[in-house]
Parts: sequence; structure tokens; C-alpha cells
Amino acid sequence: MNTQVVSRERSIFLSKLNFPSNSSDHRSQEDGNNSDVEGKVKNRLLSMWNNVKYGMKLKTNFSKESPVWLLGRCYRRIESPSSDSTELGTDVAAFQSQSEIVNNDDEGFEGFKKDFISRLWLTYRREFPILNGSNYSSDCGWGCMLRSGQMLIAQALVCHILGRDWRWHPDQQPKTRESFVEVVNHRKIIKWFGDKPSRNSPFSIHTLVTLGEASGKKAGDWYGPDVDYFSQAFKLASQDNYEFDSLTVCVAQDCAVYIKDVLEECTDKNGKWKSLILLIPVRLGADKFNSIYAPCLTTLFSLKQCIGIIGGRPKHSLYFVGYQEDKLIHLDPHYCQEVVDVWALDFPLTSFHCRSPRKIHLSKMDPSCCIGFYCATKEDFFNLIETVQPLVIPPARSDSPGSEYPMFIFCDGYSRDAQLSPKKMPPSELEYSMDSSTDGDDMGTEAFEIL
Amino acid sequence: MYLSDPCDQLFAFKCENNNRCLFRAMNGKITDFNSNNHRCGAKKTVLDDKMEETSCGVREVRNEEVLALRNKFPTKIPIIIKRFSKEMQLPHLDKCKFLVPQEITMSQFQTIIRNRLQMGPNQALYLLVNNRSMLSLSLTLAEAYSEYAGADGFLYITYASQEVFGSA
Repeated sequence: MNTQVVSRERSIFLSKLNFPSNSSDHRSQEDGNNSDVEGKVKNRLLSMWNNVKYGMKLKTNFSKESPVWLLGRCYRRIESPSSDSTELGTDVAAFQSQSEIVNNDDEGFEGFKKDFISRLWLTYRREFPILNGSNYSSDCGWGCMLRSGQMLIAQALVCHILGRDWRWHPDQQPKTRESFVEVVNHRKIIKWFGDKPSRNSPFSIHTLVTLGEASGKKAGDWYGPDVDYFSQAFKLASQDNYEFDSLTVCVAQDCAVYIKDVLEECTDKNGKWKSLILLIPVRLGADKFNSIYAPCLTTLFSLKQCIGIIGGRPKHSLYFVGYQEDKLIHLDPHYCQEVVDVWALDFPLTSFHCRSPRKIHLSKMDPSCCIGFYCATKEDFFNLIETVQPLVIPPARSDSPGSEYPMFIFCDGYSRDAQLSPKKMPPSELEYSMDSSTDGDDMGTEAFEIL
Repeated sequence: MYLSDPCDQLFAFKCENNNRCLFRAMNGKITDFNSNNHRCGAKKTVLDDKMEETSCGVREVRNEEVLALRNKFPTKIPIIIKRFSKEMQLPHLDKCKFLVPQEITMSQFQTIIRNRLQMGPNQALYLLVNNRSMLSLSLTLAEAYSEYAGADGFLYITYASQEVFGSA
């Protein structure tokens, strides 16, 4: 079944490959005004190739014995007589038909599936309005980190507006007033991420790319998990949408969260607490993920404030939402879908939810990532400080007396006080050099700078 | 040892108040070496980089170097800081060897490096020691040195920003 899908995708891919190349030949003889079409064809091919690649990894197995953690919730399989593991969401098309998911009698795992499917899934899209100052009408091949970041923010908004207990019920019509409000809010959140340069979509890829320009990025560039543009996007969003008055984003710098900074940011004009999205970019190793951080990272998913981690494997961004044993469960943005007009009435929701959870082994993770927390209340924030601090210190090594240092820290006070220059810089005449003019470059590096 | 001799001579140099003088002298010595002793010249070339250099000759050279420095500046930590080999966004530092007061904390040192790289306030900078992110407000360089100093007596620090993601 799985291989069939792949081969079907491949044959489509190949047949399309032949068709457009012929047609573009004709056109090029006619006139030179075909670069637009060629661009589209290229886009199309790229996204198809991408989806073939996306479909390569097919099965995800979930172990029967160990619990699954998903954004602060634990799902445990109750005794089930059937096979050792359950295969979930077996192909790229899985999200289109619910029947793909193996039915399981047991409540616990069913709960996991419901929860997972309810998370917002934002992927590559094609054929959206051209990104300002570029030729890109698709983010396929470069926008994955922006999509992962969008998913993280979307999860925070879901927690803030719908609550962590909210579940998407695709087959039910809303009956009660509450469920109707939920449906409206669900769509409203998706609209904020619509792929269009509009103030009604404050977190659109268009807005994010524009904000990224300040740090020298442009459409088509690769992005990192340093998510500064999201806090800017929030500032913009709060100008136009009252929903953001009660929500704020803090991005930690240099792995340090300054508590007074956060408190200042979270208190509005009337002294009321704003809910907090706390983003902490970290780097857990130079070349490779340092496995000493593995237990710290996974326990974060057991915190109720956790809204996930954006990172990925090298060059391939993913949004991590949970774990089982030594594997992280993620939502993958690398599936290129056609743009959905989220301003249309009753726009289809299926492409915004993923039915196939996937896993990667912790050791394959890229060391660069950004950890997200959502604290609805001040108590939640202080509770987070208290619980998370011992959790982010890697266990001490047996071969060394010293203890390890935490992944990130909370500090009292304001960052502006801490970041004062520690010492005046020494004047340049204090530089001592062993450099000799006669002897070349090998000696040049021997210069010491004394601070 | 072929190097111990000139290093001893180094310490015979009394110029407490003028460090430049000492280094000049040291410099002269080593330059002499290079001209006189091929083996030594070769070693000095290797000495440059190589984070994980295990050649005992190099280690000795560096050990001597460190001993000299530690004796001369007992309160300063010898640090070699390098840009992460795959770093794309951050510039190179113009100098990679530092003698830093031992009471400075990792975060203060990070501020120094930030200033040197002329980084914007929103750019990410991570100092990695022994493949660990070392940020602790209270951790002094002396403590980091005692735990993570290389076998040659230097504390090796790598700096990096965040990786970027995307795949065609």
C-alpha cells in the first residue's frame, strides 16, 4: 500500500516532467515572455519532487509499553492483545482519509491520536501571492523554519484562545453555542497564518519575510530558529487585533531569561497580567546534538507549559511536539500543498491538520533549536521557573567531579543591568604581540590579547 | 627538552613593568629558534590551529607557552577562541588568543566577544566548550578552566550562531 503510493507519486512526477518541458520549448520559440510560466513549472516540479521525498519515510511505529508524551499530556496504551506496535498514518495521503489510521480499542492511544490531529499543521504552500520584492509564489525548499515557527506560535494561540483541552472534531457539526464559538476561533487562528500580504494575517509568510529583512534575510533564504521576527509580528498583530492585547512574546537572549524583563513585558497599562509566550533559542552542541542534553529535552515535553520545540534535523526543520522513549514526535512542514484561501467562507480545514505523526531519533537532531512555553497566568510562569530549572541541568557525568551547566537559565533582574560591559576594553597599546615582521604567518597567530 | 632552555631564559628576563619588553624578548628567542632549529620551526607551524592536536611536541610547546604565561599572569586565563568551522553568519575574530581575568564570568566574556564581533543585540551567539553551551552568570572562567582546560593548558572555546534550515 505504501509503496504503491510512492510509485503513483513518481509516475505522476515523471509524466509531468515530460509534459512541461515540451511545452516550454514551444513557447521559447514563440516569445521571450515565458519566464513566468517556466518559473511556475519549476515551482511545480520542485514541490512535486519535494512531496515524493516527503513520502519516502512511511511508517511510524509506536511502542506498546512506553508512554507517549505530547505537549504536557501523557498517553499510555492500555493492555491490548493485538500486535506489538501500531502503525499510524502510513502515507502522504493519510491526512485525507481518516480510515488510514488503525483503529484501536484502547482509549489512551486513541486520545493521543485525537490530540495530535488537533494540532495545527502548517506546511509549504504553492501558488500564493508573490512575496514582496521577489519571484517566489511558494516557500517550497526554503521556508520550512518559518513554517515550524508558525506552528509553534499557532499552538500558543490555540492554548490561549481554545485551551489545551480543545480537540478538533472534523465530522461533527457544532451543536452548542460553545462548540460554535470554538469552530469560529479555530478558523480565526488559521486565518492569522493565511498566505497573503494582509494585516488580517499578521503571521503570514509574507509578514515574516518582510520582518526578516531587518536582519538581512530575504525570500528564498534559509532561516534559523532565532525567532526574533515573531515578537515583532506580535507587536504588529496587536495593533490590529484585540485578541493580542492579552498576549505577549518574550525571546530569551543568550539562553538567559531575565525575570524582571518578563514581568515588565507581561504587565499591561492597567497592571493586568498578559499571557506569555516564552521562546528560548538554544544551541545544544557544535557540530552534533550533544547527547547529555537528551534527558533534559524530553522532560520538557512533560511540562504543561510546553508548546513544543522548533528545530529539526540538519537543514530540515521540524516542529517537535512530544516524544516516546528516545524518539521525538514531530510535525513536518516539508509537504507542499496548494494554497488555501482562508478568507473564503467554510474553507477546507483538512490541509491544516496532520494525521500521520512521525518520529526522529534524538541523536539525529540538529543542535540548533528554540524551546517554547506558554504561561497563561503569572502563577504558571513562576511555576515554570520553579519546575524547569532542575530539569534543564544534564545529569552529572560519572567520570568527572564537576556538575553540568544548564541548557538555559532564569536570572533575577533586568537584562539591561546585566549586559553592562564588565570591564572597560583595554586600549590597543596594551596588546602584546609576539609577532615578528620577519617571520611569517605561523607566528602571526601567536598574538595574545590581554583583557 | 629543546624548548625548556630558552623558556628558562625567558624568566630570567626581569621586566615586570613592561610586558611588551618580555614578549619582544620571547619573540626574539623563538625567532632565533626558527632559524637555528628546523624541528622547532616545523612544530611552531603546526601549533597554530588544531583544536584536538595530540602531537606531544606541540603540546609541549603549548605547555611551555602556557607555563610562561601562567607564571607571568597568574590571575589570567589563557583562552583560544575559534569560530565554529561551519559558521556562516558570524565574522571571524581578528585575534583568537586571549588572556582573560579569571574572575570574569562566561556571560561577561560573551559580552566581550559580542562587542568584538560588533554584533547586533538580536543576533544569536553561543559559546561552546567541550560541545556544551556554557552560559552561566556565576560560572567564572577560572572554574570553566579548571574543568575544561585542554591538555595543553588552554581553554578552548568555539563560538557559533544558530544553524539555518531549508531543503530543496
